[in-house]
Amino acid sequence: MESPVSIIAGKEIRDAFRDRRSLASSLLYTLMGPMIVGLLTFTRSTSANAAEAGTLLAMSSLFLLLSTFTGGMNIAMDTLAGERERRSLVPLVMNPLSQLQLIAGKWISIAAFSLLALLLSLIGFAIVIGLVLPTRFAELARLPLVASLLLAMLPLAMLAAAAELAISTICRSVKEAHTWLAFLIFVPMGLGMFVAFHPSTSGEWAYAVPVLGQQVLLSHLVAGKAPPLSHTLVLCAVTVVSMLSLLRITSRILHRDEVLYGN
Amino acid sequence: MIEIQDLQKHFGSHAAVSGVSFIARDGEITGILGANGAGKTTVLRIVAGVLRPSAGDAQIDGRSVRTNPLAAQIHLGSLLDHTGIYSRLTPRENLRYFARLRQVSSVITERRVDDTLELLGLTRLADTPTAGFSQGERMKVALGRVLVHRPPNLLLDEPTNALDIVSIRNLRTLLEKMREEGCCILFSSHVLEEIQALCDRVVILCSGRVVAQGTIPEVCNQTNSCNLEEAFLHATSAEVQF
Repeated sequence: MESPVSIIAGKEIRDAFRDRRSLASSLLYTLMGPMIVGLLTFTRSTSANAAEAGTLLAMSSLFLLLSTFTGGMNIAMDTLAGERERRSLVPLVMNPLSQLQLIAGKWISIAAFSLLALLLSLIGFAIVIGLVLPTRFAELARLPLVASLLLAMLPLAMLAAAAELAISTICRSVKEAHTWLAFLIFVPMGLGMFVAFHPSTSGEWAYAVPVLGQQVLLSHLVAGKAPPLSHTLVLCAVTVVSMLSLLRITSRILHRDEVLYGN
Repeated sequence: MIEIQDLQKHFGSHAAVSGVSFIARDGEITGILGANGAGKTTVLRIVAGVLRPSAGDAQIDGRSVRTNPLAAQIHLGSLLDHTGIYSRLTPRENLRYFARLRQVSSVITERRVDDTLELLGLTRLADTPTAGFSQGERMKVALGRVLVHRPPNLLLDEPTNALDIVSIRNLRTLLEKMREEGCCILFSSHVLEEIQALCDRVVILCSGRVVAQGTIPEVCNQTNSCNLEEAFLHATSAEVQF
């Protein structure tokens, strides 16, 4: 027998791939970072120096962080707030599924889009950096670094998916979910800026804070200063625990009247 | 069989359902009648497992919706007031999705989906995304996803809304066939003719309470009325104010 979780996730992913407008918007958000960095580097390629390249790399890491949040935004809106708005959520919960199974299926579909966005964004940056930046920085486009960046960001993409699903669950309409999810994007953006302008936040304690920790980890990896493995493991653990807690809370509130009927 | 025992539901200080009890038997169609706000939809939502009762219980083939909702839902197919479907999926995909969620095997699923689409007159539209469907066509798809797993107990809340005459007739024939096969059907409607034509028993609700129940002749006797319309008006007259 097929698991209800995979049935729900499969349907949501197939459904999302047919929404061409949302797909185009997600792709645009995802590739926005590599495109901006690419345009900037092309205009300065002949005179690029180490300082400018460093700024571009900092921008790249910020856009990479954002891609984990923007990738799943559209499907998150549709999968729960949209489901309620089109009045198909109640028929779904009338099936013999646990709340956790339903939420897990929805989360997997959002996480799949977040991870896809992260991967596309990484490939985009690897191409831009590899082609344009001076030779010293072109080493950054090598596979080991790209792979370690991907691994470092995996838990964050999963946490972002859980946060987006939680927001979509408590919002009464797609419009409301859109507003709050747009605010959510400011979390990585704000933290990214903060880290850039306040290097003191890059201390060890930052690895215990999801999003901030990933931003610091990214900046260290890009600068070629990999942190101790223990720091990375703590960050992964904290991020995964936060993700699981969010999924648990979301599944618990799913059967509330105001969530099911949007009253 | 659906057994409802002293069901109560309060929304804040408002009592939407106050001690409703009745039995819907296998091989019978039981109709729930009531004016707007009588508590019909609330009772059906509790039985379907999407609303928790404040007190009392409902049992589907002996499984409590209060203590074992998932087991109860396995034995139940419900079409309530929320009839949304997935507009980017075709009717076939909509039905297949719900059959798979009900763990119907893939071989049986395909046959059941084809049968259900044919039964509802949707074969021609089976592989067209439902985005441009009329309200009646969407209602048929919603009905199809309830029927596709052949539930032994069926809850229908005003299922003929938006259906055309031919579809209403087809639905009526289908419900009669399911009754003959032993299915327990609980059916709510505002249309007295529909209840009269289909139902073996009726339950009349008023202000969240049962004010009359039994076969149509029994209800007429209980209220000294010569037809269901009069019986309904008599049973609810003390409560209804315009």
